[in-house]
Amino acid sequence: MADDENTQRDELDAALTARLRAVRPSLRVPEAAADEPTDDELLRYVDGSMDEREREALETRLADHPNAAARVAIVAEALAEGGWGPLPKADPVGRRAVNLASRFVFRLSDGVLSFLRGTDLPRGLEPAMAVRSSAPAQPQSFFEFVSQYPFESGQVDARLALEPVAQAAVDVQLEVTQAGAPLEGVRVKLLRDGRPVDSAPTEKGRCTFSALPAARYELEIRKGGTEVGRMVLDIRGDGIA
Amino acid sequence: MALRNAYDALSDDELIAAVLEREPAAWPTFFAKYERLVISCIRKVMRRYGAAFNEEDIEDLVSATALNIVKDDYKKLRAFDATRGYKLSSWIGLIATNTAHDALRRRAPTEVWAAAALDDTAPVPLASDTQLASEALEAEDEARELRAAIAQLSPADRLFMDYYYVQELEPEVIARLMSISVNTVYSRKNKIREKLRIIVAKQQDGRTRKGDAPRA
Repeated sequence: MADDENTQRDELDAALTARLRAVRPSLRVPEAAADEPTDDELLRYVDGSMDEREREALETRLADHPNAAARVAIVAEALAEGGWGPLPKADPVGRRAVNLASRFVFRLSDGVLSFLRGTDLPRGLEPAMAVRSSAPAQPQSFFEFVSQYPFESGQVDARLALEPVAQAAVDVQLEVTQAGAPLEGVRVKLLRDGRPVDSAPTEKGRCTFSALPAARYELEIRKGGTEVGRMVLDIRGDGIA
Repeated sequence: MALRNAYDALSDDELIAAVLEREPAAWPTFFAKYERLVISCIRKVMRRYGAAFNEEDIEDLVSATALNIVKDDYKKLRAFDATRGYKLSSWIGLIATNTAHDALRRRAPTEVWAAAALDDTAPVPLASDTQLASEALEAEDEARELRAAIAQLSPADRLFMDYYYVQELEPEVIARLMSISVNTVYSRKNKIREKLRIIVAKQQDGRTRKGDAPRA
């Protein structure tokens, strides 16, 4: 009997959820209203640091500001789920996984290149992880990554190096080797925002693309028509958010 | 990205100080610590607005969130003040949420409102060619009735409805947000549901009487 009642209540709740979601006023992302609660207010509410009066007053305002209420709900829910931290690194198996496994994001501003995030750390950072520096560092100007790709003739190493040139451009060099020796017959295709913009064969395992402006690039490494690996290089200038 | 490094032992304040001092490994450590929280917030925004998205879109928004924090010489990060009454994690979650909102506002309407939302709990619209006109009118009436009933609730009850039924927050999360116990969440839900039922019944009753009244 009690089970029946619970089932009926659950069904009623499910129906109410479906109907309320269906009659939600709009899915348009609204512009912030002039009297929208501030981010400070939303955060203090989320973290429970408001007194009762403040909280009640904010709840009254949130009821009339669905966008702010949604932002509160999203942050509170994400925090409650917990377990955040670094993403586990994907194994470089298959083209999709390779794409996800070799991605590097930079910011380029006033001739300074800063590493934002990536699936691998720049080589120069690895020692710094173990020992904290005692003095402020100079802005880093050179970044180097090494990715490894399984290939039919054995593992291939691709060393990617970036260096800013002028105020708003970067030189990108790729060195492709196998067992420490330059891999012959390699061609590197450069795609910008998904479209091919350049292609070059390697010489002694190396090729360079000069003075690239901020954009999203892909470096496609091929040998004899077969894709060896791919790197995504996202260089964000001040105008790209 | 491995996090077992010298920066792991730092408190949030110390880590922020290390980032602002431009210690080389501080920023990657800092961002990696909150990356999954950032992704979680972004996914929730996309689902809420029914936006079509793929892993590439999420990657872009995670990077945009990172950029928002570092741009203008870490202007946002420098402005973070723990004495204001909120945690660094909540603050970063809100930056990610706001970044995703801003990105959706910039998208073309067709991209945002595509029905390809990956949220399988969203209501599935009836196909117009198979839906009877009378059913559509009935659904429209029902929706209007429900909206009118909700409008009669107190602001706090409307917010509660939004949290519980629309955002589908867990009772524990609602309890924490509204400073009430989890038991109160359940009892309040029952009370509001009853209030709604009474309001809707009154509306229907009023409509029936109006319909019964002799025409002049």
